[in-house]
Amino acid sequence: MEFNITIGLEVHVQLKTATKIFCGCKYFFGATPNTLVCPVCLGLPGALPVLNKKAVDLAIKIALSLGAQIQERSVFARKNYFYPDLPKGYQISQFEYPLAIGGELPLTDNPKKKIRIKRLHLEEDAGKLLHELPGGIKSSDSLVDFNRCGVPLVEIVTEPDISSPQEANDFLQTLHQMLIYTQTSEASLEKGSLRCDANVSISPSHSSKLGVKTEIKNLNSFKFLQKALEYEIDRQVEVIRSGGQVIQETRRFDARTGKTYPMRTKEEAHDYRYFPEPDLPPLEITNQRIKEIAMTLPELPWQKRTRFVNHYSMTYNDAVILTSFRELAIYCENVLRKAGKIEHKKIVNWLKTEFIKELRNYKDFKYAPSEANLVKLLQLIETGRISHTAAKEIFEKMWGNNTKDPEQLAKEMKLLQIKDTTTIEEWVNEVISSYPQQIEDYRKGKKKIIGFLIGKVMKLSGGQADPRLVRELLSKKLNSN
Amino acid sequence: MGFTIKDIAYIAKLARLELSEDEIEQFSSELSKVVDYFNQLALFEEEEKEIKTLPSVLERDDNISVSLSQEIVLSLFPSRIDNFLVVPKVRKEE
Repeated sequence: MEFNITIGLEVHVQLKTATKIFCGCKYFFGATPNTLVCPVCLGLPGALPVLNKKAVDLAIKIALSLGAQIQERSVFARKNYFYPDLPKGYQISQFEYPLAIGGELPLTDNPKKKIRIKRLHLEEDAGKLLHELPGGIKSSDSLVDFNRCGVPLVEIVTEPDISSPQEANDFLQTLHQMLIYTQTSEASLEKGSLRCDANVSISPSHSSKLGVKTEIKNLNSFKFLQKALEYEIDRQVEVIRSGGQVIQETRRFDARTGKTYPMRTKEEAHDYRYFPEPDLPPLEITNQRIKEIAMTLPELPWQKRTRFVNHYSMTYNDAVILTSFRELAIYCENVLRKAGKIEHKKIVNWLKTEFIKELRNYKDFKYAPSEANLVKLLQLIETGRISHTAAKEIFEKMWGNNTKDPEQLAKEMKLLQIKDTTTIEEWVNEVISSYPQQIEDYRKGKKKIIGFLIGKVMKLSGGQADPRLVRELLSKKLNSN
Repeated sequence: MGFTIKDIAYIAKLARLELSEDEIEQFSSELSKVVDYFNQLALFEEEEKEIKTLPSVLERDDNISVSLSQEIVLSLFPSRIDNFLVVPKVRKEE
């Protein structure tokens, strides 16, 4: 029996603000527990929330990037539940009237496939619960750190358009890239500023009815998202093949075992008793505000890729590499623009191999050579003044705050190609007189031996002779007398 | 509006309230009265339409204000280890 896979994601994105969503407490990852709190985020009696404008602006920016419709009026609601990480006993979220609805995100591997967005809303984060004492000591109690309470989040909910774990991974990676491009979130999975829950169900391919879904909570890496889904799909297939039924439930993924385990059954479905937040009037967004934020949107990664393919005639895969982050994309484009007549393909090749290789070594863009210097280097190759191999050597030296001109470096490193025929002829003559046996063999028809002779001339020149000229002069001599 | 015994038991459970059977009985009529009282608001439905919608929520700038001192925060915790509040073990999974 073949199965169709249906996956939907709920992604929580921490917004890049200085302060929390409803109070002026700052927040940063790794702060001393319970030091970034105030009466508002602790839910002390009488404290009132005041909405952070920046959080709303960033949420609108994300919504616009996804092509979602910003709602003229959205309403905050209380989601009520008891849990020790939630001191107020409710989370301020949006329910019936979210900030934005609709929109879509194209996948990177298969840009024709677009994952539709169902909704996007603002909410506050809860605190953090630890089940072990610091230092990993087992504890019979749980420990609470309220610092994260009230940190601004947007929750992005997709339609169930994703049809494989690989696509889910692609979606999250593409979303992550967009968040970095738009500078709306730090989007760090390790630090928890990007978190993902996945809903998955399978159904026999001949059936049009969706299967029973399970929800996997808190997947905090791209790899885990994919692995958890792969495991969960296999598990569901196994359940159905052996004649059983999948139960609707929440599961968690254990990275150590690579398996998912049930957390709580949804049968006792949480009754959150949502109601409009009485402390916050509805949020009204004017068209003017949307327009102003839209003006700050950068070109998005998928837009850049399409443009690079069309404008610089590179392959889509190359465009994906060169747009992987914004700084790189801007750098590459500037090099392409400044490089004049050099073929785009040659430049792209250099960027995606040599440049990326060094960038990986240095890990920080600030060590990269200036765009102008890279262009100069490429021009030295283009005009044959340095060999490709020499260029690589020079390029390595151009990293790490070296502002030296590549031509200067080439001179210092004695890598400029010698094109002076008189000089080369002297070396050629020397080689011809040093290897009489080989010369004779050549003249008898062992033409391949010319490679050996070229090598000898190159060695004499310290690698600096232009190999094309060497070959030319050598064959001329060998064939003339 | 009539609340059944079952409704009251469910609400009590969500509110983490332990009620005796007598109390459940008692609340089923008392809570009904409370809710009925609110029903009177429905009488204002017609007038409500004339009330302009509420002004939009006020937004503040993203400026940092001082958080509570650690001393005060820790003094609020009935039980603590280091800087953490200690609570009974939360059931992670069954």
